[in-house]
Amino acid sequence: MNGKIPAPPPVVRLIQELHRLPGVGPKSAQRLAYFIIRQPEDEAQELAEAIMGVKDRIIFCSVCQNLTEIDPCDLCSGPQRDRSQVCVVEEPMDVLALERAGFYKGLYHILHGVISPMNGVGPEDIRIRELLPRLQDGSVEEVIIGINPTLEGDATAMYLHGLIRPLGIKVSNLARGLPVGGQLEYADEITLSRAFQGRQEL
Amino acid sequence: MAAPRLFKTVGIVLKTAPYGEADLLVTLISQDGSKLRAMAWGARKMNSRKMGHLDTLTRVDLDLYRGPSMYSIRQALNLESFVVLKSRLDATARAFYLAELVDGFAVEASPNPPLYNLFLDTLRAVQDAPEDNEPILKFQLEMLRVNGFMPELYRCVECRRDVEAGKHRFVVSLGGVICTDCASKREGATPLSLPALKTLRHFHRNGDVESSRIRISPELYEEVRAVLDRAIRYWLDRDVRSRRFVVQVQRQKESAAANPPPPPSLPVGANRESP
Repeated sequence: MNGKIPAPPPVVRLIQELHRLPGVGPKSAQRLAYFIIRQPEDEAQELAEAIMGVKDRIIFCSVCQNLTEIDPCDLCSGPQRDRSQVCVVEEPMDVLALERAGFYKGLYHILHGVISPMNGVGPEDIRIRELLPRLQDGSVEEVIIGINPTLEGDATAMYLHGLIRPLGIKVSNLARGLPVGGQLEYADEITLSRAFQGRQEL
Repeated sequence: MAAPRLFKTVGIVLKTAPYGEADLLVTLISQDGSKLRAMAWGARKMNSRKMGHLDTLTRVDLDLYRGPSMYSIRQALNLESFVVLKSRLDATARAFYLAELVDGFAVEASPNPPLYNLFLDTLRAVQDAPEDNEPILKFQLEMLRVNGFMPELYRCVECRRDVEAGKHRFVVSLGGVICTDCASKREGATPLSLPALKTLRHFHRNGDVESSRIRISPELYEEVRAVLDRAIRYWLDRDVRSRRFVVQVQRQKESAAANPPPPPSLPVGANRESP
């Protein structure tokens, strides 16, 4: 932030720290800071403890790389999970979306990003290295790639396919097509062609 | 007269970045060759009408609104999606490299129509022949030329005399070939083989991506590529990050060719030889 903020140093520090959060501009940082200042002390304390709790207790699961309090995480150690399938996703929030839907019972692997060469993110910068040892013991029969259908996501999927194919494990990609509630006239060329390719008999 | 607030353009999406809850900041090169950044509000929502039309490396017809601080995309319609290119990893990696160069050299509000045409022609050429190295080399040289950084290939950059065949070096910082006499007084002169110099001259005379194809050996390709990479790095003043991914994909491809995947397992009792 440019310019000196006419406020006591602790307030300035709070504004500066909040401004570092993604999507929080200078004005929003000031509004949030003054909201926290007006809060009762115990509520501000709870917020501070919640932040510190996350930093103190949350770790990456050594198996799926998801965020967890215990290692391995509940999903990896759950006896009901189907260990023959691993779904590879981009971010922990994608696991939440799939678990909320409730139909998938296999395991996950979180990459924490996608290959984005123009931004200097290569295969070694995301958690691909941790995936390959999981596929060596013969228990996994299928890797389901559930990465967002962008050009960077597709490049990551193709790169993973190239790595996993020599292991003789089936690699599948989530279906592409029209979203529920979408309209045909606004669909783009690639979505329409894939929707046609993936059409199903009624 | 002030420029109209609503206007149309055609462009190619160079890159996108998520913004806020569901918005997308789109960087593109418009058909006049200038770089443009515009916000597509709500474009990351599953039911957005713009979703799919604004993916990276899509040629798109846009309706734009010129706001006080930035452009907004009101409508987008894809004209060319490069479906075949995007279905191959080697072609996609090369296209990322092309897009990064265009993003690095294009300037906002600074028209340069040859740059747009060069980018579009090269994307189409890579789509048609993903393994052909020539369009990439031509693109690198033409990219330098249309931006005013064309290396001197005929006369010594120091004494301005025509260079004699075989008696030359290359100096990136001076912008081209240098005779061996002048090179002895200069630092940074590197060897450039005669076939590499002739290849660069051929590309200079036949700048059109589709024109006058020649066969280039892998060794010659590497030498010409390295010279052009150094020149591009010098003028961009940074490394081209996607180059590393192009190399990684090439290595993966070579490794896959050397170690083909095991055949699918057959059910017990099945005879692999039977028809």
